[in-house]
Amino acid sequence: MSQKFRIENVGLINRDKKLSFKFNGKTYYGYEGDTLASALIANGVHLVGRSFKYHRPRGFFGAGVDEPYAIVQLYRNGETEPNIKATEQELFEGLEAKSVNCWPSVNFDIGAINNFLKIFLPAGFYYKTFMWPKSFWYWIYEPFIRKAAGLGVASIKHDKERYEHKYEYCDLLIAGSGPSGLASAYAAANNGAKIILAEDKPRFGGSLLTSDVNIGNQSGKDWADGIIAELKTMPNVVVKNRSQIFGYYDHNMLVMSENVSDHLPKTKKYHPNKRLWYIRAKQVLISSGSIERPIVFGNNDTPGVMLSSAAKEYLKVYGVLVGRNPLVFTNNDSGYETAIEFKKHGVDPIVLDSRKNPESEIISEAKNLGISIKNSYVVVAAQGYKKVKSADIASISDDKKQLGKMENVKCDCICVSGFWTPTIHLASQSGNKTKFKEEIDAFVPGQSKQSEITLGAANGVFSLEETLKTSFAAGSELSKKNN
Amino acid sequence: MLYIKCPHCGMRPQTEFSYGGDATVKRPELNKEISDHEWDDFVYNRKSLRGKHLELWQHISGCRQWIKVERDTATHEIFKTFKADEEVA
Repeated sequence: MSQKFRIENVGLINRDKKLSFKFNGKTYYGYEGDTLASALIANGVHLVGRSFKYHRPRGFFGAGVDEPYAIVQLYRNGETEPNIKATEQELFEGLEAKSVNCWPSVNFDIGAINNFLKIFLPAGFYYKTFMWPKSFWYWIYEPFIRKAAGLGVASIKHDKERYEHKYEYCDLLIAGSGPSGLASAYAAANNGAKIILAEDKPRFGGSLLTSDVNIGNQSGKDWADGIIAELKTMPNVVVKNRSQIFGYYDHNMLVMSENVSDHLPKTKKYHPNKRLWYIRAKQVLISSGSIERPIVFGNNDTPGVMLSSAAKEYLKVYGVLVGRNPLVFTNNDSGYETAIEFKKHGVDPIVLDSRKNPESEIISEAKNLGISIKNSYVVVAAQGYKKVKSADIASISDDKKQLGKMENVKCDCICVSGFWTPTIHLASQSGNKTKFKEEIDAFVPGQSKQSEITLGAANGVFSLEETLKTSFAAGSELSKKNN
Repeated sequence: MLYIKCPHCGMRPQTEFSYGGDATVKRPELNKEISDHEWDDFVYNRKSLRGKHLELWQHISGCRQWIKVERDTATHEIFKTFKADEEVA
């Protein structure tokens, strides 16, 4: 079967190696380096699951750890695992996955009747309805409710995989390998400090992989590759991908989960499935970046509505178009980057900007490329049930209180961009008192309680130049303190 | 997880230690008439302090020695550690 939404010669996937996988019993093909999500989108599959109570159709919304919808049941090497995010699961030969919370199939789900009966199903109605007659409980109500509850199915077999844990000590732990993490790691490594650099995705580089930037005379991605290659040769540096730092405990103790084998069809002999690292760091540098915010409108859970940064990632990293007729709905400049990427690959997007007269370099670039832009326009509702078919849009008054006349535009995906929220979880866990930054409408780390520092987008700094400068300085400063 | 400096072994993680309670309680003197109330205080009654607290720990998976640790119960900051027989000023 051809991959209808894959475009030629774009992306970081290995096109020489074709992989077959099964989703809901049907065989599809993807490439090495794909995630389950990108391979499904390449094949035009957007309907991956059903919501918990009303069984509304669910598609993809993000492109990584931020995915809220695309949860699947995974089958690997005779084992099954529930609650796997399709956007995080890397594709391997023979992968099998199924949608959860739907019966008999994701396309035709009987439970979806709840969506039409919703006025009769207020919160907590079950507590009253299933009380009488009492004799019905054991044979009728409970089996039925148990079947309806929960998303995935846990395996009842003994887990044959091995799991390791280990302790590690370092001078500087860097969480995230975006521009900020790489610059500080490079500076600190050259000072001889013992460093661990952790990245939760398979590829290093963070935002450099998706944005069109140059550092020096190199593209962002080449710069990242160069630094990673150099760091890997240094004996004082541990570079880890597929490793997520998920806990910050007392006295600078951090916990990292390294995914050793889940991206392979079968765990290698003597290898663990996952490895848990307990890291005692003298200094911690948090460069975890930021996650794009969605914008609220009617039916914004319809498959086909997704973050504009996710659409850009699918395009730039996996060479996959999320739609051929996209609508970009934005309230800031980031949406234009996605629109320009679409335009460059032969797709004509429509940009709706809720601002009245935005002006910046990237907007004039978009205008020069001939992208149609509607200012002071918003999406009121998405139309379509299992996939976005069109969008109701309307102009909005300057005080954002009055909507103009409703229009309907055809589109097959809506990319939303509601600015960025710094990923400050690790800083918060360390006891950092966060503060609200008015300019970006978001919380950023404030006063540190332990020896940690947050840099880059995670600290609310969205300019690449400033990020690189401060990170480089911080990296060399922190490593000096230790020696 | 706390990082405690054992005066005998050096910096060790909390998992190697076992908590031994308040280090400031004094056993009532021997050969003296002792009321039930005093025994009660010695055996059971403890203050749940917020702030600086001197406590006993045993380095159970290490040198097995008892040590005294001066710790902030609210922030977990460890100010100083002592050998069990050391006088704390």
